[in-house]
Amino acid sequence: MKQRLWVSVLALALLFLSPAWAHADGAYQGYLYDEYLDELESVNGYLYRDSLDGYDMGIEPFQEPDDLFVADDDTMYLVDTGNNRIIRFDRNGNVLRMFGDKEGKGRLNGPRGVFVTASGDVYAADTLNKRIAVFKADGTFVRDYPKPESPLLERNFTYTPSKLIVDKRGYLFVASDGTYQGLLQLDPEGTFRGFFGANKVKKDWKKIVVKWLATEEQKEQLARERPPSFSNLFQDTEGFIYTTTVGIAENQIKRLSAVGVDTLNPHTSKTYGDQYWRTENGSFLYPAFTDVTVDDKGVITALDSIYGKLFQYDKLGNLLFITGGRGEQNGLFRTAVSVDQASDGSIYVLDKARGRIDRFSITPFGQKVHEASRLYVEGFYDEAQAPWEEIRRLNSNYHLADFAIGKALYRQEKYSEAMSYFRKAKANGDYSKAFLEYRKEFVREHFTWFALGAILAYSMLKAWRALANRRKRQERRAAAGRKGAAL
Amino acid sequence: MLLRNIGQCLAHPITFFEDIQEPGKVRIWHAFLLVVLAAAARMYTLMYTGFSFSGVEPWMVNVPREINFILMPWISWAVCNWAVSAIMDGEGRFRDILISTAYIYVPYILFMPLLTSLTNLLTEAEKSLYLTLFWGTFVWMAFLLIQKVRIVHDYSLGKTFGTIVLTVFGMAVLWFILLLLLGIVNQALQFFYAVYKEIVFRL
Repeated sequence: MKQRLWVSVLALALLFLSPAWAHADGAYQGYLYDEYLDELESVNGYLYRDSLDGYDMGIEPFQEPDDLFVADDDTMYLVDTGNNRIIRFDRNGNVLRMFGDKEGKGRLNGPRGVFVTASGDVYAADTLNKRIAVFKADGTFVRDYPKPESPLLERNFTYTPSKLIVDKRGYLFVASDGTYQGLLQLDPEGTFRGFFGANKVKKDWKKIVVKWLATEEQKEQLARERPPSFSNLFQDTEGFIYTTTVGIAENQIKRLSAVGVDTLNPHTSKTYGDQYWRTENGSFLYPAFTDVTVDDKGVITALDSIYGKLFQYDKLGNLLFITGGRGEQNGLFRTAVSVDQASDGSIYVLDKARGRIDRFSITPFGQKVHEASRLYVEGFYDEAQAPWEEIRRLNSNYHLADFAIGKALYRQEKYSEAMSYFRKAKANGDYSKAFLEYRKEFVREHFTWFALGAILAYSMLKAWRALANRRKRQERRAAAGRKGAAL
Repeated sequence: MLLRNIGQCLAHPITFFEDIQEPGKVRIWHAFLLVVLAAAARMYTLMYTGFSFSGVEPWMVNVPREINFILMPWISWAVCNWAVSAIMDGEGRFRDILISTAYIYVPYILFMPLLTSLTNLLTEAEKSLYLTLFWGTFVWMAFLLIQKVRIVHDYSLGKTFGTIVLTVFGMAVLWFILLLLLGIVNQALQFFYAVYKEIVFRL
């Protein structure tokens, strides 16, 4: 008995003495999806580092904060919705400035979004005041953009600005909750300049059949069905606008060009986020993408609020990492609503229910993937081969690496090797292309044998027919002979 | 004898089905052998189709399920067709139906493995060739099936199609009832097992 006690004491002591890296695994297991959408365990690309909340900053706790913006100088702007203010602070949590006056025109009411221009002007989506409020970098209120007036807008148009960006010309793109026509485009004077990049209602057979059977009254109700509005938007350094949409199952993330065309999913539909959804009370729990951020290399990080996970994609939409989950441990989220990225590659996630900001740092494996992916996306397949091979050594489940190496080998005309990599990556189409080249090569190399075989087959056929003919002739002659004899 | 029958079934299907009722022409174990061969052909097709055309790896193949996929249509067709033809003045006995149905698998047994081997030499660009041959085999089988029903039961063509539709309907009913029965039996077994467990706990 005594011995056993000692053993447990020792075990406990060891537990406390073990260094921090011994449990740096994180609260979640990284995974990916393969070509057939099977889940594959993977190495984590991001790990939880630390958190910041109102207490750490020496101010009262955040109340239902809804948006986080990381500026180019890595200072952060937090929309503290419940406290009607926007807080600017540095990465150590030192408060630099508060936006939102106590009285007058500069008073915010339930703001839900913020955008900061390169010159430091702060644009706040002052949601309950139904306007956009602009502050100078020193915190003084400059002007506001009230609800736009235009014959293009319906009379009962409800304006609920929740998120916005300002482009280089000073045009505002505003996501308004429930506005199905798209993003509102305002010029620097505040004049409405039209809608931008609307979602579409998806046609499906069920709806067509229902419409066919429905009475006039029911049809009227059906006609009110609207495409979903955008939940968030982000502008990258090239000027593309990325949007997220809640309530659809496909193409929840879009990259809109200057004319509002989705360039991320051209002519395809793709389900972002988790491929297998949980059910709750008998219905599917749809992923809800509430925010997206894109770095200067085009790597897209999107936040699914329902499953509490970050999904990172490369510029072409290949899944790189899945990070996080729902829960109470550090690294998991209660209700994550916003995500942004600092210049050092750290990802900041705002947890609304907890009222705190979690920082995630990239792992060495993640860095390697980014290095390889950057080369690969830009078309430097050969240069990317070495880092991809390193990744394969670290994580043999990483099918993107197999695929990329296959592409490099294909370019180097090593077709049979490329075939084996494409096969590992489960890329049937590319395997087939490599095989076509391999077959050509094989036939060319062994042409003599093929030619000889063909000649042999042809002459054998000839000989066989000649033999058959001769036998027939003999039979005929024999028959004629018999006939003659009979006569 | 089996080989000669197979050859005749391919080259002169009408004569073959006409002769099938003659005594000593066919054996019942030939039919079982053909079904086993068809199952083997299916397994080969699933496992060895070229990667350009199918991503199925050998470990993914569920052997009992695939055997059922061949065996069940044969048995249920024979049973339902026999039942329907009994009402519709068919000439064929159950034995004839069972054997003649098995011979419908002959093109499948011969051509699917060949086509499967061919897929390892073709690329995606030649998919249309593959699909033509693939569906051609099934069209051939459908032709054999129609001829079989017509000749074995000595029907007119119209009556043949009517019988086929009724047989398919009968199969659907049969499967529905079997699945229902399976569910109920399963429930009953679970119930008795629960009662047994309860008693064991109380004792």
